[in-house]
Amino acid sequence: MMLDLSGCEAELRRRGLVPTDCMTLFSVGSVARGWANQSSDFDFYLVSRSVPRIEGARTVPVPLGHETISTFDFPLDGRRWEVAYWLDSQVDQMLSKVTWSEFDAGVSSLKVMVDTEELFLERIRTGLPLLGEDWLDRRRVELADTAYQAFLTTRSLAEADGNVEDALGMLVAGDIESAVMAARKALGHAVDALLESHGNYGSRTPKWRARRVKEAALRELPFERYWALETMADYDARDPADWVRRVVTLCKDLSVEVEI
Amino acid sequence: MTSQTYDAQSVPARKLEARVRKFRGKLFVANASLAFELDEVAELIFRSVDGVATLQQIGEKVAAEYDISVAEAVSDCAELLAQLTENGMVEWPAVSSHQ
Repeated sequence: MMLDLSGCEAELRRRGLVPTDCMTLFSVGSVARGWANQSSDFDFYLVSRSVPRIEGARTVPVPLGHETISTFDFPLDGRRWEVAYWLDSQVDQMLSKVTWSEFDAGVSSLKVMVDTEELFLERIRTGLPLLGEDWLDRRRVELADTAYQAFLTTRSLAEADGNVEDALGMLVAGDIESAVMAARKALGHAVDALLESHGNYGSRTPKWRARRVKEAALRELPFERYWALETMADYDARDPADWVRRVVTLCKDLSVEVEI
Repeated sequence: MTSQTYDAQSVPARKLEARVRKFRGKLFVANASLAFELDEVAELIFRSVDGVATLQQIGEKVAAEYDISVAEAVSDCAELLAQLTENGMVEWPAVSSHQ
């Protein structure tokens, strides 16, 4: 569902929520990706040169030179609006954390950035600009030159492998229910890795995974096959171990197809 | 040490404990302490190991791809797969082990 964003900038200005040195304002999340429903929030990112003064804003800690971002939300016509305020210098710092030299130096994909940062960089790629489209275009090019995708893909593969090992160990121990749970987790991470290797990000919001698989139209994993696994359509309660083995085998097969 | 005997009709499978990464166009297969970088031929062999194809069939595929004799290809496949088996990256589920 595509929502009309044409009046959003004016509404934010009317409320004094767009600082004079704003470099870009873009819609993010389900609205920007065309996945919104009637109750979806309007989420925006705004990037400015200097720290904005927004009365009533909350602060969120980030591990960057300027150690916080601000967020401000309000209800309008039954919908929640939220603006997150970032600094241009913070974006520079986030991009510098995920360079190829950092990746090649062995910086852990589990620790390279926090979720707030990861989400921001992900949304650079999918955001819909209301202001400063050239800023967004430039940052997209810069992001594409980093190892961001490699960091995410590596992390998802490692998490998939870890859950496969758990599932196999649980099967050996006769803990079948836990093995099923671990296999389900492994599947999610393996699918995320495959999606990430195709530049389709969002592993921190798994509720959208089916949407992402459908959108990506993966040769290696057609949607129908993915959906049958995700919904455990061929799970046989008389032989759960067989399902676990088939799922973890698929996870391993997918990992061969994932280009970091 | 455990050794396994298998022949051209034996079916290899990738071990689920092995970790695989495709990085900068190269396929790497690793166990807990060791990683192999597979060249183009080795990657084709490893990808062909699916728990269904026999060693003979994998050799035939390699022979057709690289225009070499099937016997030579089967021998090359057996050599690589023996190395991967020794390092816990490939197994032969239907083959008996001998102490």
